[in-house]
Amino acid sequence: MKLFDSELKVMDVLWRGGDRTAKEISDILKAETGWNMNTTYTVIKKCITKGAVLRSEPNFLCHALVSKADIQEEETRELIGKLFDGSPDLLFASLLGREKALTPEQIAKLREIVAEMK
Amino acid sequence: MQVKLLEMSAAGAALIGAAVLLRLLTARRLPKGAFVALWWIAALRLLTPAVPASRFSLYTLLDILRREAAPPAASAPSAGVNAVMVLPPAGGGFVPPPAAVPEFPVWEAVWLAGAVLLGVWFLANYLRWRRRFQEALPAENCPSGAAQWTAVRRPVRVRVSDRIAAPLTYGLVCPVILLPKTMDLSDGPALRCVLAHEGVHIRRLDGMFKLVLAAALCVHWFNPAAWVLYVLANRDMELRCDEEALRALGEDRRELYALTLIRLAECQSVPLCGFSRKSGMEERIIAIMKFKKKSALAWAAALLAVACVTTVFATSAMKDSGKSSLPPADIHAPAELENNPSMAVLQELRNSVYFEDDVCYFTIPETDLEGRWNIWITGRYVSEDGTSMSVHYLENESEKGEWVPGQTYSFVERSHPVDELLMEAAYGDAVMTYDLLPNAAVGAVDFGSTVSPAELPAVKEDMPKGAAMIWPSDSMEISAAYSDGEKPHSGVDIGGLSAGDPVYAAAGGTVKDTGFDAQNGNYILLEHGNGMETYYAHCQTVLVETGTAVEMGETIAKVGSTGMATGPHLHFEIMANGEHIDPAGLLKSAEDRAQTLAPLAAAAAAKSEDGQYPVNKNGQTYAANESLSDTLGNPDLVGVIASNGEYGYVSLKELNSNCKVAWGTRTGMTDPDAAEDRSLPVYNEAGDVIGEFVVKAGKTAAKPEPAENAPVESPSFSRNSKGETYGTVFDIPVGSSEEPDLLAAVGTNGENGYIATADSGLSWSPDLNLNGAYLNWVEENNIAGWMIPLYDQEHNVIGEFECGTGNRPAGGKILSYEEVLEAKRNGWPNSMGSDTSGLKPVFSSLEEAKAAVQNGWPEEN
Repeated sequence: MKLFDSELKVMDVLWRGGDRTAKEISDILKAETGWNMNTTYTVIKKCITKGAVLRSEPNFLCHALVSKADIQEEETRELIGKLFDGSPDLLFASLLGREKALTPEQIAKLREIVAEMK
Repeated sequence: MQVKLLEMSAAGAALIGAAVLLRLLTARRLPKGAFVALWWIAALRLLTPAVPASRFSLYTLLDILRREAAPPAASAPSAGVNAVMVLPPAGGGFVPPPAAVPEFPVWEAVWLAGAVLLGVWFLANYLRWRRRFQEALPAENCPSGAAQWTAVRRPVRVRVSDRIAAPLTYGLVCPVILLPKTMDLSDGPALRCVLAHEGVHIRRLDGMFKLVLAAALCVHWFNPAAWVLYVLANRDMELRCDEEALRALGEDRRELYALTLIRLAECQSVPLCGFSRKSGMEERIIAIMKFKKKSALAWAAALLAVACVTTVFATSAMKDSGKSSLPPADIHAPAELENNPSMAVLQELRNSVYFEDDVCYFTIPETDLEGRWNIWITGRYVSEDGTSMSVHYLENESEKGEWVPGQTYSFVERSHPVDELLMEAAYGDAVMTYDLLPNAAVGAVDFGSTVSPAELPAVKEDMPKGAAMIWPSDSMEISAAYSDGEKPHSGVDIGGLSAGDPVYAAAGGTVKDTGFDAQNGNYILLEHGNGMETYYAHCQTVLVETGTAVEMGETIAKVGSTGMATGPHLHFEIMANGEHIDPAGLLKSAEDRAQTLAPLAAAAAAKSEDGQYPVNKNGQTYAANESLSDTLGNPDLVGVIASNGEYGYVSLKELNSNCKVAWGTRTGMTDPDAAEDRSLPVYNEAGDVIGEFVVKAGKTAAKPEPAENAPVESPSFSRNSKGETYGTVFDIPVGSSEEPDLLAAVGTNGENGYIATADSGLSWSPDLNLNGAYLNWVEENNIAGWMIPLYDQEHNVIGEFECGTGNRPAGGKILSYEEVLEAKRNGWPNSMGSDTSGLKPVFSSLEEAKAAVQNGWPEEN
């Protein structure tokens, strides 16, 4: 199971303090990360979809289905390579601009240029 | 809409092209901010319909060039070379009023679909990433005070996300710098480079610019220049940020900055991507390494370049108000029309007209109103041989109706010294005719529907009583006749009219349609019920509105020469169930004859009072055919119709007493004993000459004397599918006693058709083979006061034919004219469609009626 940082943040709340309602998670994360309620709920929903959290009534009580040890934090870079669906830089100013991913050869060449022009 | 969009797109493309060129030429000498500014302007130009005008605009220049090169300009193709000669007054064929079927706007639909698709794609992308960005976590390892490095005054949040590969900025109101989780936040100098770069994005509102660029691309997705703009603007935005960040960081941080970028790119790199190419990144790294602070001179040059490109390419043409424009029109429009926006648009069109040398220019006004332009420009002049010629200008545009708002059109007017140069323009519900000649009377502006009909008669005077349809004009002159031959003319052109003369409704009914089209000008279509319609074209002004009811003889329009016409005339058509019939029949129809016969009735009345023929001031007795008395003998003068249509009398002495067929009201006759045509004066009751009466020579014609065995020409009647012959009296050769089974006649509904000789029960007499007499035929044949069926050539009933009022066969009852009129008012016995209830005598069959005609009417009880 691969969880993003945001999802891990929700799991972390559950791992730290046991089962909590969605409202409680939202309050905690609001203080910790500045997320608004919608954002937190969206992330919780994703955790449920991935099978990391079990939701039960009443009050949307969340229960962690996986332990912290179960989750091997993946190499984020790898994740990005696989999950990079869409281009965030279409409408958001990104440092690298509208650039396609570079090959190692190209990277090497760039370093050469910098070295030459130093 | 479409035109406006393309115009914006083209103007944007020109601006983008200029900016691209500037970018190529100046390379790295100008600050990148200059280009970002230009891209901003280009994007806004693409999205702005109206821009301020400038004397130095490219479009002002283009306007001037177009004027100077007017003859070869695309907009002036037809003058002179393509002049159309129309002789005599062009008879516009009946062009059905434009169909109301809206054409499916294919291009608009394609454009809209593309724009919506692209827009939805952008929006979906935006929302998805936006949601992910909100899940970003606070940057915990970030050195305190790092946000200060952005040099942004507003509070900026720095957060970390594991979903992105490179740092980015989002949030227009509350800006957030998002750093990838892969980035080492403890590396202060690198972080500083990144934040300096992102800070420029925030300060320069690049997030907003990205949205504007996306919007411009969505709207102009079909325009390659918009894509070029999108790509270059995004690239220059980053270059500009690099430049400004380095200016803040100092030139000696160039290497650090470049390496930071490369490291970030490395995180993003995909090892499997096989081929190597020169990346945009390379250009950027070189730019960074070559960075030097730009001099004040470079900044000034950049400012100047942006200002120039903007002034030349991003402004619109200056309206030139000089030159010899038309003097202000002296217009007195009624208050209700002054507020008509369409009229204001037409006025604007007129105000745009001006002459320079021999070239006439005008500009189609831009307007938000929905409407189609119809503009015809016609010059008329009289050539040396006296024929009237007309020249049409900008004919292609006129015919296609393609007038681009905002565009200036021109044509050369020198090819012929025209006596009259009219522009007829219609837009929306407004119509105007302008006299374009600069030396012409200034007040020649004719407001379409503004002229009060009060100065015209409200109804036609002297309308024949009881007529089903009347002649729609005061002029009886037919300048172009109806023809269904090789060159069909679906109506008649009524000439002898001046512009502004009244056009009368031929019959009561409803205005089915009015409008303007290129061929027929201002037209009116009236519906009279029973499938009857009449059509009036080339009107100067239409005085009625679609859907309103009109009375017979009501003034519905003014004669003009709009559309394809060489002079004022009325094109008039009659349609029965969609088929055209010859309106000339109306002139000679029984109804109109009723009018011309009116004095005869008076004469007849005079006779009956004192038992004498009336006497004119010269002492001559006079009488009409109907009033001839067996006991009184012949009068000195007998009633005829002169060749000019006037009713009058000819002298029997002058006529020749041998000419037995003098009786009757006919426009001419043949004297079987005469060898030469003769022209006799026609007198009125006072004895004044009012016209002429032509007596054709009949001597040369074969005489119907069997004893001589003269070769009688065999008639050549047409045959229908049933084998029956049909034709007009003109098909019957002189001297022949053969007649067709179906003989041409005009029905009460105005329909051209045939009556069956079998129905009339009477046979043809060769004596009656007279010039133009076929409508009088029934009269001559003494078929009086009843109705027989009217057929098409296939013998299908299409109407009814009213039998005439002439003398009756021996033993039959003679209906007086008054009786005929009375019968007409109350409905004919045995008619096919008239109300016959309560009328006597009533025949149950045609045969019974026929018998009554021949054997006398049954006595009324």
